[in-house]
Amino acid sequence: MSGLPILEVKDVSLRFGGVVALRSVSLSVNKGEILAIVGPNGSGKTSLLNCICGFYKPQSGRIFFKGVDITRMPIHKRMEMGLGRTLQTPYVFPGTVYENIMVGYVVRNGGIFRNLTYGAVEEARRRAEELIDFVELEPYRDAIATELPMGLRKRVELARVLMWDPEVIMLDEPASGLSLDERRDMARFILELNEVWGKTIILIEHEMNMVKDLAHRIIVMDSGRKIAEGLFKEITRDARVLAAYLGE
Amino acid sequence: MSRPSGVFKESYLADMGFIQKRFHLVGLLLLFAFLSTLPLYAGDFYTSLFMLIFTFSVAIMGLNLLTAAGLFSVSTAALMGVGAFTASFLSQPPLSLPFFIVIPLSGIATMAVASVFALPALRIKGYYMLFLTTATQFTIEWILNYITKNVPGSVVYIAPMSILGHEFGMIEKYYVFLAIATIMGYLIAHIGRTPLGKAIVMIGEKDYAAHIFGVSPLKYKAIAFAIYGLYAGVGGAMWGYQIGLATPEHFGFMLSWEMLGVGVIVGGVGSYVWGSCLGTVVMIAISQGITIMVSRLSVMMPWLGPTAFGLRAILYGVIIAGILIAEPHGLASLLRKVKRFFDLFPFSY
Repeated sequence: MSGLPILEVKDVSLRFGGVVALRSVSLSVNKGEILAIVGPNGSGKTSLLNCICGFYKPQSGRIFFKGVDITRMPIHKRMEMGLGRTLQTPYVFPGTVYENIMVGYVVRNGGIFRNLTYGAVEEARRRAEELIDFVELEPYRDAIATELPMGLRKRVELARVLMWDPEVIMLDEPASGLSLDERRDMARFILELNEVWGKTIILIEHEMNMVKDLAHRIIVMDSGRKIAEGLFKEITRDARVLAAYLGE
Repeated sequence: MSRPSGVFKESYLADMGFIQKRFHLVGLLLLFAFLSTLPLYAGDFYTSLFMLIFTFSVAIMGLNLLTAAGLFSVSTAALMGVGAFTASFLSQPPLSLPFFIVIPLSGIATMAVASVFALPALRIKGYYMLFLTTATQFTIEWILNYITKNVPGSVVYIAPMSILGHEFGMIEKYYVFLAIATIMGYLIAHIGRTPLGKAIVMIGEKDYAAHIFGVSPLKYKAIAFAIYGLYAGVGGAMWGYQIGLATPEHFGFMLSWEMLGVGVIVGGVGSYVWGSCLGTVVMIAISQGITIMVSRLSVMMPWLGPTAFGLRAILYGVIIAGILIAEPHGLASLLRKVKRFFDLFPFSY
């Protein structure tokens, strides 16, 4: 299942004034695995994801993706290289669902005049329809995305990310605010993406049952540090993890 | 939006087409039948009024797209001025180019000017854009005044529209304008449905969130600005051909505000073609109507004296406020309601 490291984070530190969000965090993500990052609120999980996708610039440390140093690369270049991420609060603009998904086409096909041809429109729409099929949004393809409930908006966002076919997909709390049924659907999508489509997935999640069932490997963070790494049964025995979650 | 029943599309392009049902086609044909026969029975006044509507519709289409990208601009009139002055330069000797070359070239030249002024604008957004584009407006006005500083009244002339030595009259010009407005309208509607057009709308909401999805705000803001410049330039050249002359005074700051406030906001942001056209109709028809009304009023009530012209602005404001209270998303949503009504015709939902 797991192969060579596709993404490597080396000694990344991030500060906001006096607040230290990340203290020299290192990790590597292997190709084809599902890596879960867990930790209490404010432990730096989302900050780490933001550093990897380029939204925050870390003060020190380096990030390598497919062997290339991407620490100083702008966000859209990283996406073009094959990264993708969803947000904790899904971002959709007031347009139909298929329009929201089609937007992802411009990431790898940035040519302005190429984008205006009928061929490009047709291809973008065809791929958007394939992804609508995958995330099971067929009844909503003409619905205005901003009027949809949270669970469906998360699917719209996932489909949009898949539009540019990234190798590594970072999911920021894909199951938060979802009902049990929707959570099961989301877990099914994640498994299919990993096992059938061969995507590498970094998952941030508070829902421990989901993490236990999905993740091949788990990283536990607390106040900006990586405190444990391993399989579910290993980290649940780790004294530092128990301390972080339950207190001394 | 609901998908009408009984409509089966066999390709994605057909599904995203502009004409979804037969009554859309009927409506469009009726509109074109009306517009193309108008100069035959309407007088010169109404024909020139409609030409003005075509001119401003084109400029406002670009502004509408820019507003949808979250960038408010109040320099449209100045950019139209750039278009008109370029048209003057290209159509007069020594170049004396024909109109069908002058108009696209004016658009492209204005696109270049807009792109230069857009460079600082790409880093800011929202209401801050109003300050920056105000500066753009006055800078361009000053430049136009400077270029023509040796000409009394800063007037430049645009050669009359002609082809192979045959000079166009009012009616022929009307059809040229109708054709240009149709082409430009189709183009912007097409841009609106491409992934590129969606990316422009996406940065309009939250540009940093769009960036996370790989849509570079800088790039798409620049594209929106370029399209805006192109449309304003073509509009300016059309204005020049209609009036035959241009001075910087024609392209003042208030006109820019009117185009943003009435042309785009009353018309409906995001409805590039119909919103812009309806907004322009309101902008021109109402302002002309009120002018006539007020001049009648000042005859009826002579004690108003010169203050009657102050009433014009007040009435204008009241009408605009009234429209926005009735249709907060602009007149384009009224059009959508009409479409929906015919869509479901015997039933109400």
